Amino acid sequence: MEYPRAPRRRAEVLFPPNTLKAKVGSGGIDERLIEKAQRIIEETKVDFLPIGKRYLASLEEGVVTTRTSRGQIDSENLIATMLYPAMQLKANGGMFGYPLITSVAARLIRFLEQVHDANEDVLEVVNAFVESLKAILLMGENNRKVIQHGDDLYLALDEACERYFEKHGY
Amino acid sequence: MPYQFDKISVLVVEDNQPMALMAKSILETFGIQTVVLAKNGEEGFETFCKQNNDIILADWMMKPMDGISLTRAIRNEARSPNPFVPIILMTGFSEKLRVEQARDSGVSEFLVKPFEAKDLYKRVVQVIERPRQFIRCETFFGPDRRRKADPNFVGPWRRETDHSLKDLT
Repeated sequence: MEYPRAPRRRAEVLFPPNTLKAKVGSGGIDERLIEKAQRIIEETKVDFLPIGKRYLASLEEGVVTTRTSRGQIDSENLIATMLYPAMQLKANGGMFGYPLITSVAARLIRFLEQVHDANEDVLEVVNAFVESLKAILLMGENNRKVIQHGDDLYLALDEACERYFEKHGY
Repeated sequence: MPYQFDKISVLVVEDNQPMALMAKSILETFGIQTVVLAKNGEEGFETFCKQNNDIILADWMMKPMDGISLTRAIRNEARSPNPFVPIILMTGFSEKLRVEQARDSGVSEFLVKPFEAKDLYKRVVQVIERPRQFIRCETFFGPDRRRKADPNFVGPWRRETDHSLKDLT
C-alpha cells in the first residue's frame, strides 16, 4: 500500500551533550551492590496496612462516585476514579511485602482498562475486588488462610471478570 | 573503574514517604551520595530549579502536581535549568496506553512498580549509556519516542527528517 508522504511535520532533532556520562564515567557498579539494594527492598519493614487502607478507601469512594454520578460524568473519568487507587495498590503492595495485593489489583486494573462503560455490572465486579483486597489486607499475607486460598481467590476474581465480558463483550 | 556516582545528585519525587525512603536507600546503596526528596511535582520542580539535579526519579500519581505535569514543566518551562535532564517515571501502570501517555509527556524511561533493585539500576544505566536524542516540533519536546529506525517501515512519514528512512531502503 502506498501512503501519502507529504506534508511532513517539521521536527528538529537535538543531540544534548551527555553531561551525566561525563560525570560518572564508565564501568557500572559491583553486582553485590545491586544484590544489597535488593535485600533492602525485601527486608524493609513498612506497615503497609495504613497505606493500603487509604488506597482501598479511595477505591471504595470511586465506586460510590461512579454509582452516584453516572450520566453526569463520562464513563472514562468515572472509571479513572477506581483505576488510580487500584494502580496504587498494585504498585505499592508488592514493594512492601503484599505480592497478592499486587496480583489482585493488577487483575482489577486489566479489567478496568478493558471495560467501556461504568455500569452496575462493572461495579459489582469491582466490589468483589474491594472485598477481597480488604480481606487480604486485614488478615495479612502471612495468614494461613490467605496463603492457602490466595490462588483460588485470584482465580475466582479472574472468572468474575471473564463472566462480565461474556455478558457484555470485549 | 566503577561509576563515579558520588559526583551526581538524584531527585526523588514521591508522595508516599516509605516508598521515597526506600528509593533513596536503593540509590544510596548504588553509591549515589546525594539523593534529594520532594513530596510532589510542585515541590519537585522548585527543588530542580534550585539544584539542577542530574537524574529525576518521579512517581506518576501525586497531588497537587503529578509526575506527568512535572515532566512537562521540566521540559517546557523557561525556569527549568535543564530541559534535557533524564526523567525516570515510576508507576503501577504497565498497559501500552499508559506507557504511551507517559512517553508523550517527555519521560525518558518508565519503571513499573513493584520493581526490583536491578530494574532501577537498569534504568539508571540506560539514561547514562544510551540517552535518546531529543525532538522539538510544534506539538512535542522531549526524548525521541522512537527507539530505533525501522528500515522496513511502510507507513506515512511523520517528520521531515524521515527522508533518511528512504535513503536506508
